[in-house]
Amino acid sequence: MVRTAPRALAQIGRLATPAAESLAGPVDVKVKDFFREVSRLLPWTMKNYKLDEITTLADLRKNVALLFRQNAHIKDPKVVNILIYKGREELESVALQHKQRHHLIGQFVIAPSEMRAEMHKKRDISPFLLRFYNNQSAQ
Amino acid sequence: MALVKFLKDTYKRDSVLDALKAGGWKAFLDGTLAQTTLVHGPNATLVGSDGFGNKYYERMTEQYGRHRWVVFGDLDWPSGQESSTVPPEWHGWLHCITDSSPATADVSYPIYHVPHHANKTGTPSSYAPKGAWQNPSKRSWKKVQVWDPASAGASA
Amino acid sequence: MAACSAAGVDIPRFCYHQRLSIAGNCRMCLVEVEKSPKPVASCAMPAGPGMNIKTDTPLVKKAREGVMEFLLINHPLDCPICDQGGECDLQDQSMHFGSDRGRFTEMKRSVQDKNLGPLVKTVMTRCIHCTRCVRFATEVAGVQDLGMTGRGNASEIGTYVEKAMESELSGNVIDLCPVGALTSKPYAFTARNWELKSTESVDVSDAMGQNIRVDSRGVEVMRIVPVQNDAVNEEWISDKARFQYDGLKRQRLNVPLVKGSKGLLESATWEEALVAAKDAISKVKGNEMSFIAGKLADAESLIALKDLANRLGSGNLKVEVSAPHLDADVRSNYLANSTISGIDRADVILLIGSNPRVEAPVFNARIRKTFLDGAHVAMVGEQADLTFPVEHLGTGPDALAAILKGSPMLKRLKKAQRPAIIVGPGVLNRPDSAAVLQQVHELVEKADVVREGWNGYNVLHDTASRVAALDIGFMPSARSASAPAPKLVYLLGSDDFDPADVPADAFVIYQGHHGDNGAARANIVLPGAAYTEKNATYVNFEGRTQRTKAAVPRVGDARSDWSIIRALSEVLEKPLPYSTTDEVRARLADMAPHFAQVDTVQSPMWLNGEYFQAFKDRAGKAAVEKQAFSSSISNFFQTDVISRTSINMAKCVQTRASLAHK
Repeated sequence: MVRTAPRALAQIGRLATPAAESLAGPVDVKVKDFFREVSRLLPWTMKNYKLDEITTLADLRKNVALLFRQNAHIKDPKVVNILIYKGREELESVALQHKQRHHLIGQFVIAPSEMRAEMHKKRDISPFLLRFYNNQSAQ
Repeated sequence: MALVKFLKDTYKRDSVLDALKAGGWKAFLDGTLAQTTLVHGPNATLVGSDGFGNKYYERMTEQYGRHRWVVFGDLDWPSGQESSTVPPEWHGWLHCITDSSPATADVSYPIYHVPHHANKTGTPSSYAPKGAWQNPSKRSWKKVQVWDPASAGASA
Repeated sequence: MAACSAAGVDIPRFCYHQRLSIAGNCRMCLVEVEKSPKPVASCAMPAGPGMNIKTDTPLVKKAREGVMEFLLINHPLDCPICDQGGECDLQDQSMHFGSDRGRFTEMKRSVQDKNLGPLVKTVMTRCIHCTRCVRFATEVAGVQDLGMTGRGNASEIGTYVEKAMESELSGNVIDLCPVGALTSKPYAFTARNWELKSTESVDVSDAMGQNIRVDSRGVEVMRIVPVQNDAVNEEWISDKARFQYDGLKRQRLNVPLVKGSKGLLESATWEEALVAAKDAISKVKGNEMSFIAGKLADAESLIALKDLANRLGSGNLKVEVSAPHLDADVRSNYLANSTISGIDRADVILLIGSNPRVEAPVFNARIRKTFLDGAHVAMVGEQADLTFPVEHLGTGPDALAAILKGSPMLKRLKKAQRPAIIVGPGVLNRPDSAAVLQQVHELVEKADVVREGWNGYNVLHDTASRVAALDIGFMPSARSASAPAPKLVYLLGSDDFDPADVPADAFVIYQGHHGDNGAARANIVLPGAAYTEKNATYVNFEGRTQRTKAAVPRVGDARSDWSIIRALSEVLEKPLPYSTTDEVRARLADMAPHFAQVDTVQSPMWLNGEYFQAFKDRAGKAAVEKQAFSSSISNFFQTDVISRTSINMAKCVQTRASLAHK
């Protein structure tokens, strides 16, 4: 263990290094930076939480992007800064493995798919197609 | 002089300065290294060495129990100075289980003998069980194997 | 014993099996008969009038305990590592009649295991010499591979020389074996029977519709075993039906795929895939589309696809490797009219262009049984070993013509009480099948095969979807003959399509459950469900409507097949008028009433030869070619996508090849 642990630790440290935390600066750049930061950690997360049995990297990134987009309507820089701060907390607990596998599955795999189902529901499609898209039809 | 010769021998250099440059300076930081190379080392008899480059020394004037020691072939830290590189036949001599060393007596190996290797824990070639995540050819526990369009194109 | 079970008394047994001959060698079924000095074996004892049988006396109990003790002397105590554990007759009965301690202090006998090929695993030390497997092999499967050697303590069951069992029914000895001596090799050490969920379903590996029980654990099918249905498969199933289930776990389609800009299939959501399909479909005219159904298509998806095609203005419907000249107008024209169980009563059977041993092995066992009951079986077509002696009359249409002209066979058919003619895919798949079928019908008329109370005209199909497709009318419309080359092809699980039907520049939509030829050629892939994952309707070759039941969930993001077509129709803004399974089935019943009557055969009307006049007119144009009738199945173990992806089946093919080599 002695020989590999520092390398792995260094890697996590590098991946989860927080971007500048000052309140100054344009927020949209900070959001983009934060999203990149999250995306950089995703391959490591896939491996360490054994998520490749559940989902793929591309899907996970899509799901994370969906969660980002949920707050797209928020423009107030103060609120955005707080959201980024909260997001970083989240990221840190993933990187340090304070979260467990089922937390991640619930938060980043199941919840986004349910969100998508909700988004379908708002559209004007027939009940059959709605059930079909949401995989709720019987066998 | 003995110290100079010992340093030169240990680091296989022609001058003391080169030996210090090649890693001898580490002895000032690493106590174990200092003990084996500087304090113990000079005036000892070199009994033999093994395939890993480890050298085995003896000095009978030392206190009993500290009179035999090894200077590892790889003196780097943390990757070197690996005590499990000592093969069993030298282990016996080093720990005073026996006085006959492979240098003085022939060792007879059983038919199931395999060459000794250092403990691989923490290295990429360490053992991982069939289901372990670390195992590169780990057993797939997926219940269903999914079709890969790319592979089909190749076979078709 | 039969008398006792009729009276509601269950007698323990090992060697007795109602479908096999009586051996009387296990002695477990001993009963006390009044005025008999000793207990008698009830399986071999005919019940007489005024006989008083006691099955529950201390004498009987003691006798059975004695027998059990002797059986257990040489039976190993390895129940915890035995695959039969939990469903073992010996285990169950030793709970009743076994002693709580052994008096045997010597060494147990040990027997070398035999290699019976890739399907049957043997642990011969466990064998109790009931000889059920030997009797099955010789009597039902008709292969002389298994036998008993040695005497007394040294007797062993085995193949006389080291070889694999050369039968398509070999898996059934696993069910027959009352102990764990013969167990399933692919199933070995994978599950315990009490952790399995059983679902009674129908097999689709051939057109017979064998009744099966799918045993699953979680999302995995662990094994498939037969279900007794005297009208169809009795209690046997073919090796393909039993062991192809590992194909269900490989090369599956789990998400919709759409060919991207790079020319590679990329995963997509259902919405993206359906919209892509819509874009493609809206670009072509109705007549430029063609729809091809595969071997495993179920009736629900067939009717949905037919309705969709008609709404889009296309009549180019086709079943792959289809019998091009079969008419859907008269049902009796494409069914086994005698029914599968009716074949038992036939006394002369003429097989034309059929090798039932590979097309429907269980049906072949049934014909074999009829043969053993004294029927005469003759055959026109390629020479094949049907496991029983067959009079070979010739290989091609000329032999048929010779029979027509008057031969001993014609006389025999005429004289017979219940003559049967079985027409196989060797005839149906020929380009000149119309002309050959016309000859066959002439023979049917001449030999009076269809008479009062007996219809001896049978068609033996080789794929599970064929009869349902014909019932629904999933076949080219009259206009389709003049249709241009298709620009868009919709493959419903079709992987063995004729390359001529799918031009190189056509846009291909593939709906199915396995990645194979079809998916590799496709521009859009829509993942469907395999037969263990859906409730679907199939019709077997005697016209029996049967339903599969979903045993395991669908893979990934797959959907049931008819609902994919229904969703596509809605995206195309031509919605089909049904949105639940019940409504589809109501539509099926509208189309053909027999779809509503599950597990029954409606005997179709025979139009007394009038229909054949139309046949004659059509056939008059086509010339009969000389070539021999050949079976459509060259490789029994690999006929469809599931069996092709199955490793078990691949191993069987290897074993067969090595046997042939020897």
